[in-house]
Amino acid sequence: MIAICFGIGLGVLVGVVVLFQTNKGEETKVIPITRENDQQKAVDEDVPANASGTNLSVSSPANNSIVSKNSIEIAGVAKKNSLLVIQSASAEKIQKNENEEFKVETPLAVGENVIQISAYSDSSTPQEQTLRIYYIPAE
Amino acid sequence: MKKYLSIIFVLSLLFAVTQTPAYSQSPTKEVSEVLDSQVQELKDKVAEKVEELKERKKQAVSGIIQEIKNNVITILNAENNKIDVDVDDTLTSYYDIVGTKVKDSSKDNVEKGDYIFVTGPEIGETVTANEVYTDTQYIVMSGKITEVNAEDFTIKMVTIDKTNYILDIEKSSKRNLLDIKTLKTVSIGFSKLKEGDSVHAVVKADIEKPDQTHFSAIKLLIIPNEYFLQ
Repeated sequence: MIAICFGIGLGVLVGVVVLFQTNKGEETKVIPITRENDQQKAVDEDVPANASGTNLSVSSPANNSIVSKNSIEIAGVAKKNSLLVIQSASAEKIQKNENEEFKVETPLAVGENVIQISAYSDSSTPQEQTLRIYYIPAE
Repeated sequence: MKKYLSIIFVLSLLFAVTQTPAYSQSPTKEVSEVLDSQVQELKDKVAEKVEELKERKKQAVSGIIQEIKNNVITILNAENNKIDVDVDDTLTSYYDIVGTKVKDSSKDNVEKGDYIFVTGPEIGETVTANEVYTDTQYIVMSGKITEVNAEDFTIKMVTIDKTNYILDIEKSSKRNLLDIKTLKTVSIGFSKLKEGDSVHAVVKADIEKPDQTHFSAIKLLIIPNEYFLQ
């Protein structure tokens, strides 16, 4: 009877120790990966859209893009309440930037389109970015 | 006694069955996770490269032709960089942009001084041309009006980079003024142009005069200085 109890006790004890060791092992293996990801995500979320400190940043389209549609959506970020001016030979758009992010549908002419995007925020000197977009209609 | 031994044996067996996989699973799981992570990393890199190549494929370069030698057209782009364009007699197609139309053209119609844009793969400073388009070069500029001359219908403007330009205001020049209350634009006459206002202008470049500072305005957008004093 003593032997049986001893056997069961020993089995349970070994089982608990092994279980504890296994969990500990998984913990040290998994946590660093999760933490790294979490930290990376946290850093990304903290970075403002216009982190360069500039008032205007155009995210799309990429400069020198070729498109087959006669209009394009210009997207980016500019300081809240900036006056946005988008001008090219075939387009003239003016709007107050209610939020930081903006999206402006702009018509394109066939061929090269030099599009200047200007943002006036605190003064009459704007921040500017110029894009060259090539519209080649699909045959 | 045999009964007890049997119970101990069964318990030990149960213990072995439940615990052994925990030992063997742990390293396998670890290796599998590392492999998954590496495979994912590789997939991401391949996807990124494919996207990059796709984007590069959809891009064009433009500039004024400086030289045509054998099968290489050298152009000078807006950033004053020279780019070599490799053309092939059978593979490269030539077009003219005429208004809203794209018309077929040929290599013989392309000459020094033309403004062209080129599509095709770009490696370093060389583009292998699939298509060459002859187009009109437009310049978009902005700055402040420094002088309004009602005698010869010109305005002087200075840009942010301190370059001074003279613009001829023609009857055909489109002139719009921002209404600071409605933020809509209204068409205006020459008399409404005044010093100190901000101006956005579109002009047609004269390819033969790369350093020119005197243009005929195609369109003007005026933002009155009052907008910034609100």
